[in-house]
Amino acid sequence: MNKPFSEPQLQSKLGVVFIFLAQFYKFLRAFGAALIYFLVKGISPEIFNKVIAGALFFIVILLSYSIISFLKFKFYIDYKNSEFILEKGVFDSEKVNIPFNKIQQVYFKRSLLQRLIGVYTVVIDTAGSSANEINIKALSEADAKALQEILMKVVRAEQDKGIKPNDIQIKEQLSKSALAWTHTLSPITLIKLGLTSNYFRGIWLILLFVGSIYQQLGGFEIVESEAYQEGLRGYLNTYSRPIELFILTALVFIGVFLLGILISCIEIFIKYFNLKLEQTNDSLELEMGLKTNTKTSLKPRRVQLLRIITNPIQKRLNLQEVQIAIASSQNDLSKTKISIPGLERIQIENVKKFLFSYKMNTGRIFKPAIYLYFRLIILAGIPLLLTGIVASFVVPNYLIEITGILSIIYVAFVIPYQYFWYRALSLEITPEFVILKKGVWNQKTEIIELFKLQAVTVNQPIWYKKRKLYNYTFHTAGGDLSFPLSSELVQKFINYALFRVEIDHQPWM
Amino acid sequence: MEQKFTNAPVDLDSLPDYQELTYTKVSVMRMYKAFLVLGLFLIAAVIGLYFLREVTEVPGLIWGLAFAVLLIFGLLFFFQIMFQKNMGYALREHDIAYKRGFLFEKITLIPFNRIQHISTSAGVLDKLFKIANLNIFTAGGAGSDIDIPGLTPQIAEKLKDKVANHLTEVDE
Repeated sequence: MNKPFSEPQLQSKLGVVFIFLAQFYKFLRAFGAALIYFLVKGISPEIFNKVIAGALFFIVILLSYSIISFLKFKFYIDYKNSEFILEKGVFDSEKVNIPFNKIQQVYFKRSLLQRLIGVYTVVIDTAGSSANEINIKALSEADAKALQEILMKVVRAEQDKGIKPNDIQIKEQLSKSALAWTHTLSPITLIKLGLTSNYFRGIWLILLFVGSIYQQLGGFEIVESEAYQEGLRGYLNTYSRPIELFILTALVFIGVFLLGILISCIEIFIKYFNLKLEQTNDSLELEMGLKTNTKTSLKPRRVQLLRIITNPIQKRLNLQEVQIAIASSQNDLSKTKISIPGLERIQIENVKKFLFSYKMNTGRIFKPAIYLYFRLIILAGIPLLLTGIVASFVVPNYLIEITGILSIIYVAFVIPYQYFWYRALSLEITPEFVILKKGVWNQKTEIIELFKLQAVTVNQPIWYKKRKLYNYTFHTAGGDLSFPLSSELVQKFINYALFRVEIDHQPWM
Repeated sequence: MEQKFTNAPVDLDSLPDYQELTYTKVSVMRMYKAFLVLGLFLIAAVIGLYFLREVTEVPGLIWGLAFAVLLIFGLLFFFQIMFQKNMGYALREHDIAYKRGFLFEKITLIPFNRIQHISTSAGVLDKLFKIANLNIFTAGGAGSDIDIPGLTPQIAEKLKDKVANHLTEVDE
């Protein structure tokens, strides 16, 4: 019973001061401007007493709030259930349990205020977003150190217990790593990549650039000046025949397009210059960059989601980009993504072999229901319909021409594009993986290992009940895979996925 | 394991089916709490309309607005009743399922060995109605975390202990 921290504990007594000052500071920040206004203006003697009384009253309220908050904030270690427990809340109340084996790390933090008072924040970090971590904001140095030491000790003990089943896994990985390999990107490949990558990004950058210059110059004073307008008018007069105008517009478009390609090339060159991917015993080492050389080390355990991106041209050139989402205890999970462009098919197989614990077998492939296509073309039609409606008000004379153009766009582009998009979407569930494929031009393949699944969500709008169609979402610590409108047959595989996760004892990160 | 699985049809059908779960409903107090909040807003809207009547001279505006307010609040109350009817949780040996939603029914399934931590919480109104929330956090981000509202504090606590015990058992 005498184990440390087994009884509910309060924070250090100085905690009251800290909570009070922190709240007071918050208040000052919110109403500081008003206070300064009063100080500058001076307070008339009649209401001086009232102001003082009000301020005192406010301080008493704040102080009692701080005391209650302090008294309600309790934490202890439940050795029997091996978990850390925290209770808090003045008006609302909250009780948090953290099992030992989910604690990632325990560390200290100190703000200036805490330094002055002489207290420490102890942060107990678990996997997941920063909302998932626990802050104990006012502990004395001795208590903070004792708590950290004890927590780290129990956490380590818990981890040691868990190691046995992993032994095989580790050995397996060691033997796997015998065939080490490296991959480098040559300048020629970089140029190829630049020429075949997404130009829209380059064009977008140009627009941003022009936009910022426009703003800097204070809205193009030239445009307003007489001379410019005269010049433009003369220009338009000389080139006023439709064909010439058309050619001019086309030339401008081609120019912007070429510039977009150039900028894409340069960007890729700077970002991925000297890229080197090397497999070592237990990790993939990635190094790249011209301006800032970044180095990343990838451990298979941390990898949560693998995405392979390519487009028809790059496919011909055998260039694929791999994006890897890893789990980290840092703030935003989905943002810790690593991109490796310019990989050949065989290298992707190598990466997969190294990162995944299991071999990839074929599984059951699902396609979304045809209603998805109907929904897509209806949704895509809405902007065109709106354009038509607006146009009918603005330029009623050209209604036939505009309707014609919009219909051509719809029939010639929207309907086929959405059809190909719909056709490309598929979900494959194999014994160990979930594989999602999508995209018409940029073709993406997203792969997650079943045992790294965190949760599954099944979602059904009421109007699909009769047709027995569901939307499925697979959640991982590196992002979600969503698959819309598919048959109830997937549910058997959801059962399997849950079973697969629940029988699993390997560490997933 | 993979060998066992290649007999897919047989294996899949023998697995426990999450579709056959029976869900435990949450306390009806949750609905009353929602009604109270909605009621307060309704009163505010009525008072607003009352004062608007004094200043406006547009004919039919008040009646139109009153009809709209009634319709919207009627729908909101109706939705709350349907939410209450559809909301529930189910515990199995290895996972927890939480079902909610009326127009968009949503079921989230979380295996116990993927839960990061659990907490119970109760706001001021919850305390008034003597209910509590159970919050379950995973590493999968906001999409896979669940908050089960409208549990009696005893049940919330019991559920939490049950889930928490699973948490520690699983890795042993």
